[in-house]
Amino acid sequence: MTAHVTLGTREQARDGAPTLEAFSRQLLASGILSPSGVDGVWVRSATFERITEAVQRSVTALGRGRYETIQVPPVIARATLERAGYVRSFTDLVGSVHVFRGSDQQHADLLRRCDAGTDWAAVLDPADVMLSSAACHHVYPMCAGRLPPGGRRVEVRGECFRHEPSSQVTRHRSFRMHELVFVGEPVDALTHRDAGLAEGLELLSTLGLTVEAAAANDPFFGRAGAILADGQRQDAAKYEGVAPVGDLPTAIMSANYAAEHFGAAFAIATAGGVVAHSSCVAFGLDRVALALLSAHGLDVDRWPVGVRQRLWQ
Amino acid sequence: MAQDIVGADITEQIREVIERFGNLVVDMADLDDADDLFRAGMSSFGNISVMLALEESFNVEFPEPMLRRDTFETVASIRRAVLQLLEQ
Ligand SMILES: [Zn+2]
Repeated sequence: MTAHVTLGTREQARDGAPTLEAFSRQLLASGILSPSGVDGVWVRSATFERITEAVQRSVTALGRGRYETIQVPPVIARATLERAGYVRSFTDLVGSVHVFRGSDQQHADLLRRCDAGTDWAAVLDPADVMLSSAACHHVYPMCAGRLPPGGRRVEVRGECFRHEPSSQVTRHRSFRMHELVFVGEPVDALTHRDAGLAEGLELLSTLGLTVEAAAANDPFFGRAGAILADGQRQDAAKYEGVAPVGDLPTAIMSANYAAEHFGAAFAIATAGGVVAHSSCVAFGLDRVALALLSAHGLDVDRWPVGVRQRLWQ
Repeated sequence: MAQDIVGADITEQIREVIERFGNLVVDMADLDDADDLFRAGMSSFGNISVMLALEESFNVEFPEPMLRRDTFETVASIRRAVLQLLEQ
């Protein structure tokens, strides 16, 4: 497992690299991203989208046609997020959708609150959907039941939300994830994670990024979360691909072995009838784009020829 | 007071908590104090339930450095941690 981890590793510090603050200032001045008025939500320009779309194509190419491809919406069934364990373990990251189900009388109440500048959201109720926290969460309910021999591979892309407000351009609350997901035999799930990590790091290196693999843990909430995070590290369940944005090492991809967590939660069985294991290799499209802009400059047409050829030819 | 609890009672109390909250796949009576509870089927969530139940049962709070998997690996390791907290 560790053999793959050194792949793509290079010396990280670049002399004269601008700080994150300097990079952010130039990025915003160029209009490639624009502020939305709230922290962690950015308006994306055509230039930024040109990059993320090219990265998407590269990720799709990693799949070599072995994956079913789906696109998922930015919201997910409340029940699915609960079953995924996300609400319990990442309580501070979830985003809930609330809707108005009131009467005319309650509508009048809402109007009064709007006029008075008081909390009108108190009149709303939680909906049966929440904001999607990870693209792969949509995959597991699709796999419920008995899997075909060899398991199932799904490529999934979607908008995600995590409530981590920050003014840093690297920390988006609303962002795109592109994942290669495997659900099936335990040994195959681990192989998928390791191969995906190695191939993902290689892809990012060929795009001219200085990327390193690092053992990681998810930001589980609270005191219970400390135990989960320790367990995840003990199991070497999560690796991140880390590349600089400005001078800040930033996780731009991750490779995750979830063992039987999702298989058990969503009643997924292998062809042989045991609880399926799963793994996912996830690319943060917005962060990959930021790492590329940081490495190669804000003028995409002047990026190194090799990088442009890989992305756009 | 906590100091008056004799060692055997503490072990018995820990075993009861694990039996109730650990979600083991084997019978607690078949496990030695040195047997790995995770190998006996305790999941991460089982671990957390056990941790919270131990805190309530012994009226202690595991500090941050103890919030690690190896603290909860065996009856013996839990016992060491609980004794340490009770002595404080
Ligand atoms: Zn995932």
